Amino acid sequence: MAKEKRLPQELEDLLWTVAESDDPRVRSEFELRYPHLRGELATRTAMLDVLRHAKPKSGSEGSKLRPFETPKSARPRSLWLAPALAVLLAALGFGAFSLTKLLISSSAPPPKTEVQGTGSEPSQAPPEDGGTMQGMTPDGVEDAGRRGVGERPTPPPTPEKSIELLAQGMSLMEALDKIAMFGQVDIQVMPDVQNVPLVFGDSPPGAKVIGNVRQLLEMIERVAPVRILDNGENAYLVLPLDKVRNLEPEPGPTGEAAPSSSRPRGPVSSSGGN
Amino acid sequence: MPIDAARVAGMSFDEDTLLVQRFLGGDASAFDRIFDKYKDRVYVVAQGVLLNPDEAQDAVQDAFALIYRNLPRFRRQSSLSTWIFRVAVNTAIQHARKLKHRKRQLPLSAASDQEAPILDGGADAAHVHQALSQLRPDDRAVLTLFYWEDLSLSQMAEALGCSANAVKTRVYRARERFREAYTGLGGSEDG
Repeated sequence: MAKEKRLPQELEDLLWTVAESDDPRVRSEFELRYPHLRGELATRTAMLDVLRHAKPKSGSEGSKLRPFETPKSARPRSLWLAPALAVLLAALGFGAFSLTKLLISSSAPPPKTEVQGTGSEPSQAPPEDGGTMQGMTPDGVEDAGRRGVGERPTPPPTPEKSIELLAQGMSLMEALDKIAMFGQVDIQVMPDVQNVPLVFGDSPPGAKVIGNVRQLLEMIERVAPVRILDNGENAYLVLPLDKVRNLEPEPGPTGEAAPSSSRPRGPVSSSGGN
Repeated sequence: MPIDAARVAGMSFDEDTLLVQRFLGGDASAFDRIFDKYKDRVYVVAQGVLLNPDEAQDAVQDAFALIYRNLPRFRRQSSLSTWIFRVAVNTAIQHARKLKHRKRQLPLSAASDQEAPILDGGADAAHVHQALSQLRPDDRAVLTLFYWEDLSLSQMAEALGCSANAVKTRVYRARERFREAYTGLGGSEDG
């Protein structure tokens, strides 16, 4: 095969352009203008035609393609990164919470099982059955987790039981008995106390007075000739008013009697709470 | 079934954008649709570069694995199709380099057994295959995109990561090399 004579670059470009063209007019014009290149044009056109037709049949060969198998480690990064970070943060948070909870529970004093009076109000002894211990939930789960981190467990306030009394129609002894029974307190009545009927204000018949032990005893004190003393340990002492007056302090310079909070203590303790 | 290039070109933007959005939203079936839509074209590119159906199949899998991983980073500066072609070309060229390295380590008898005709179409196709096999993989990639996938120069520029003028030059040179190889093998000696 003889060495082909090199064509000028412009003619080379034109030859390829015409060879790739599908327009027969372009081809005929080229052949009219460059009749000596008709053979070269035919060669290149045939070559390109063969090249184009050598394209793999994607319909037949492509159908044999294996279905795409999702790479195990190839989940899109933006899709798996966010859940992974969320899980990591959740694990860190849970670990920190558990550690803090453990430290708090190990450093906190053991929950007290005995309720002691802390103030002037009588404390209510926890019931033996179904009662809750301080710092513990009814399920026995420590209650520290419900509080803020670092906050020491504090005893919950003892619920004050509400007791109902009839505004009219009850005697003093009936009222005291009811308060003692429902308030779970010990009320001692001195022998000279008169069992007078109680009338609380201008309440209509059938009306009720509702309050806790201390509130009801104070109301009774106002309407009955008695003085009630807090004897501590959920105990109260009911004295006839005339016997107590001897123990009352003298009025102050203003002529006003001392308030009931400054009642004579004597042997009676006002501690204890409810 | 051959893909209607005009139809694909007309609807690819909206559908591809939607498919990408669905996939990024966690819809795995969207990627199945992308695979079904482009697998044949990726296979053609891979086979044009590798000239070996088994290697082309592996390259298709690798290319789509890369696409699957990197689709969240697809910036949409180009169309999805040209981006897929870019991944396909690069993957196929990498396979070709590995294949060449593997062939170097084989005895000559074994290496000759690897040369199996892959193109249908008789003697002409065999000539094309032999001529292509004498070219470099990047030249085969250029000819494949231009003559088999009918990409425009601008599309090829995006797929190959170069300018349209550079693509024009690369097409010209690859075509010249192919012509030399083809005529050297006795193909189209009718002039």
